[in-house]
Amino acid sequence: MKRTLSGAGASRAAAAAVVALALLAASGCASYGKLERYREAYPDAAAFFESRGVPSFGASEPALYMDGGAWYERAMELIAGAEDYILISSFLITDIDRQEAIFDALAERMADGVRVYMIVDSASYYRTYPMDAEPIPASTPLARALGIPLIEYNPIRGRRIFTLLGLLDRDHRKFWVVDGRTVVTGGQNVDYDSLRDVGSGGCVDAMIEYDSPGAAAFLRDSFVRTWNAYSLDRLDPGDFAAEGDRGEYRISIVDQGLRSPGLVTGMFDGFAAFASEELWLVQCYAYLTPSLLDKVRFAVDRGVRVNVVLSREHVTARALYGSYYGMLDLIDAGASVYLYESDVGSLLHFKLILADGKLASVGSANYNLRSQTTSRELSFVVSDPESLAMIRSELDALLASCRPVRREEARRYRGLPYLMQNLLMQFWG
Amino acid sequence: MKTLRTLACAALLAAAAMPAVADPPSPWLGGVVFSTRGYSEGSAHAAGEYLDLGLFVDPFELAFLRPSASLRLIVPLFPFDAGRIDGAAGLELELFGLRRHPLRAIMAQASAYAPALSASRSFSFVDPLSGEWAIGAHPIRLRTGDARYSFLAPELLFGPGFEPAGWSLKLFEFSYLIFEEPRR
Repeated sequence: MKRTLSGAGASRAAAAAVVALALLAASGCASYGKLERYREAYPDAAAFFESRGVPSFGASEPALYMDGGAWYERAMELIAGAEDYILISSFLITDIDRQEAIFDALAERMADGVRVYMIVDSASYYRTYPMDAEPIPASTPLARALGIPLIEYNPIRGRRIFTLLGLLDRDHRKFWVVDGRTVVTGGQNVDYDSLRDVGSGGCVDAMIEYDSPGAAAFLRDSFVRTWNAYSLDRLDPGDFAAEGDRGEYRISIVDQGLRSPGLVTGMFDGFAAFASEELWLVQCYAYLTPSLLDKVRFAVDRGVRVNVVLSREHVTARALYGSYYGMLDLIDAGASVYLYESDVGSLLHFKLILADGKLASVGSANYNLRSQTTSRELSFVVSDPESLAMIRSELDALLASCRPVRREEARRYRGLPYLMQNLLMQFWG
Repeated sequence: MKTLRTLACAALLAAAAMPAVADPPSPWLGGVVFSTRGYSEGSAHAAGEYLDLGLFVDPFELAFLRPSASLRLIVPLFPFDAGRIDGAAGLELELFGLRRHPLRAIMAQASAYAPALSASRSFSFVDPLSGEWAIGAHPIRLRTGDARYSFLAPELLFGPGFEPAGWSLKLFEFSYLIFEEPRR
């Protein structure tokens, strides 16, 4: 690790530390008892999720795209094949040739009469990468120049200074809805990091796709609700057809959308409480709280083998230090920790939870406090054999590039710089 | 004649509201408002810089004459004096929203020029009957999907018996919609 703490980073960390400590204290250690009660009250994870208001829909034809190249090809196919509308929610949109090609294709289809709408997060404006001397520009101006209707979620602007901590509320979701039939979600943005090939340093990340009119209608409503919160040009969900609820499988959708708190925590609880043999957490980061560690501990104490796969590479020094700090906590909680190692600097950005090979979630939610609280997140929870087989196969492929992290090594990442960045990233990451 | 006039007004308001009612709704119900202002000499407020902060509701999405209401604290900021913090209750009437306006280039977000009139009553927490009435205008006011921004809004102040009591000027007033309506 050659990256060092900058002075500015240190002072930001110090400023955040007090707030972080307060929040960590508030998050408490209440998870353990809560999970016991859930196990007593519900027969399985499906019943638990249903009790939390997580909707499920018929779905078919699952597909999984595991890197920027594969998803880019599919995205271009979806755009080319769209007949009526395309709704895209992307946390980040930043400049790269493939993003430009996607925008051009969207603009062309708009000229054909296909309706296109995009929701992006203002975080797009502030992307820097250690391997690039200059920040990567946001693609928002290009989208506007091409006439693609676009809104920014909770814009980060000086005039909004009085919203104070409200600016931490970010829309981290990534999903596509095409023609009221095709739904896709995962961790990939329409951005520089996601759309590059893994071989050239792009993220290892997933987008999972289904044919599901029911899910499309649900996500359309969520999209429109968010859009109407920030745009003067209101959309009517009734104008975007999505009818029926058909499909041989069921997918559940954890949508922690506009002002919908707590659903991500419920998802974590469901997996931790009802896994019975093995739990895999594939995660970019390890910014953990006592409550999140409790969930791991609860599963371990019931004899569940908990395996956590983290990324060796990170886009920023603060993410690297902050994430490495959490490894020891995971090991001490009883989890086995693995590091995904990339020869070309690829970040493992895949957010997967897999329980007993029978239940999986793929989406945008990180296993951290931000995803639980101040971020809008979206994950598909799936249990059909076809999806699970694809997910398991990709997990096995990842594991071929992973190495275990021993406790002795994890202890080396517990110095003050690691702690400070870990505290900072409770809010920043 | 009076009934006829009332009916005509009601019909006019209903007609004005029709396009907005037909529009899909925003999920917002209300939010928080901040402004800075100063008062003229002779008003009930001492010279200084004041910060208004409060809550507002904006429940009706009307294209014309869109009302909202607020409850605020008027805080003497420079010099700060916690003993002179007053309260205020107010109504605001947005006259219209114009999408193609000369100021639209100053924001990346789409905005509408949306001037408004306002009326409010301030009161002292020590002596609630001792406050002032204020009638104001927001000639430079923009609305975005989730916020309202007003600049240089003058107010005329009146004493308890509606006698003139000076004026005030709000340098800026920023309102952010952050509270959602229950899901429909």
